[in-house]
Amino acid sequence: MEKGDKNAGRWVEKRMERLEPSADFQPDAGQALPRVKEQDRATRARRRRFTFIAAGVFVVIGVLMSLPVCNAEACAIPAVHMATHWWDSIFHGGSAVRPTATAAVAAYKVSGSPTAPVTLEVFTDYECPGCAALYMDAIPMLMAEYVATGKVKLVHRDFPLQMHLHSRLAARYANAAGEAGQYDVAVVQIFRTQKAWSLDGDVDRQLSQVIPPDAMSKIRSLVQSDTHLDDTVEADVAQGHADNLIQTPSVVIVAKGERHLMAPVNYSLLKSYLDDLLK
Amino acid sequence: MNAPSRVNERSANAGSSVDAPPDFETVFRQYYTRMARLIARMVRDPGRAEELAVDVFCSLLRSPRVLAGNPGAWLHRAAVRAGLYEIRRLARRDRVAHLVGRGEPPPDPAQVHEAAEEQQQVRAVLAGMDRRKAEMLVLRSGGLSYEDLAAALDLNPASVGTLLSRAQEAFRKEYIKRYGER
Repeated sequence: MEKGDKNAGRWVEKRMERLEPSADFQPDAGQALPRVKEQDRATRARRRRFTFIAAGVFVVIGVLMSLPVCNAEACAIPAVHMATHWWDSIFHGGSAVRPTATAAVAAYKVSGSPTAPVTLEVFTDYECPGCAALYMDAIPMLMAEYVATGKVKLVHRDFPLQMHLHSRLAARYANAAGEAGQYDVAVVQIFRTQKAWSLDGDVDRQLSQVIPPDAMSKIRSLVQSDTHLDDTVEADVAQGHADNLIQTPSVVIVAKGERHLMAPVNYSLLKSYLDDLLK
Repeated sequence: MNAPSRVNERSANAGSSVDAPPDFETVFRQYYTRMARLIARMVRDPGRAEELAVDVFCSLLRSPRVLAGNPGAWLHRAAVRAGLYEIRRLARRDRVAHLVGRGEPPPDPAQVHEAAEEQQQVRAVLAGMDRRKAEMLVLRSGGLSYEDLAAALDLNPASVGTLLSRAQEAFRKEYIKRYGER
């Protein structure tokens, strides 16, 4: 066996010897050394460029994460704000209001039968184009088909995003209108004229076109002086965070004691989901 | 087989003032020719062998810890890997070219002659073998002792003989499978 191994070894070595380079091939270290140094310089420069580009990409990503994206479909909640919220929930016991069940909501934000088996909570931002589209297209159909028939209770919740300059003011006007008994009219008008008031924040002018002057005076007074007008907004925002919203508009369906987040909102999908729940 | 080379020159020079780590240029002048020739055992083109040797030394230049340790062993390992990687890359490229039907350009007479050489056959067998075994065979044929092989490939010196004979057996089987016993 050992002899066989030796023979095999010699057999292999004989073949491996054929790899010996020609005696003419005498690499010159003197000529190669400058090439190594030049290549090393080029590699270092390439690495510096790569580091610079990578740092730039990180900065851009960071900026993009802090600047929320807003398009016609939906408005994303900035990742940094969500991260802050998650951090708070994990390490600081959650935000100030941390409802485990449904947070209380102002009566004027609720439509439909209180005994409806399904509650649909719609979280919107008044300056979000996707929310306006939802309120102009899907909500009227939903109201006619499910809310008016007592199958579904609809709750409108405010979720103003920081990227939108005037959405908190618009929510304040809508809630003041609610106190004045004009909530539904105000909400539809605010969404319908979104493009106009979002430029200058003049929600008042748009509402005064559809709300009677005496109600409008009361609304103005509430907007200017009511310190508790935003309480309902804060409660809605806390509820939205508890539901882990990632964008507006979002819909939370409450049925059989459970809350299910649905986003993005699509009426046909929503309808089939509701039909299934109501069977 | 050429004269045995040592992979651990510092230990070979023990007794002289060798405690300070060698500078890169000293190591380069000491090993460059040997490494380029080692790579040329695997790579047909001498120019390409020198390019790969330059790449290996560039890596060494960026690894001061290796330079302060045992650069000889590291260089042997890096050079043999660079050479094997190159012949495997070329074999892969040929396979892909064959698969996509984009055949190689017609070979010139010199290439035809070279392809017929056993040298090319040995390289083809090495390219198809387990990398570790191929590394052992190339380094051994490059003149490394068992002790140096163990240092270069980070092996237990006591097991080098066994591993080497396994590598030789694997080479022999693969060679005979491809080209017959001749």
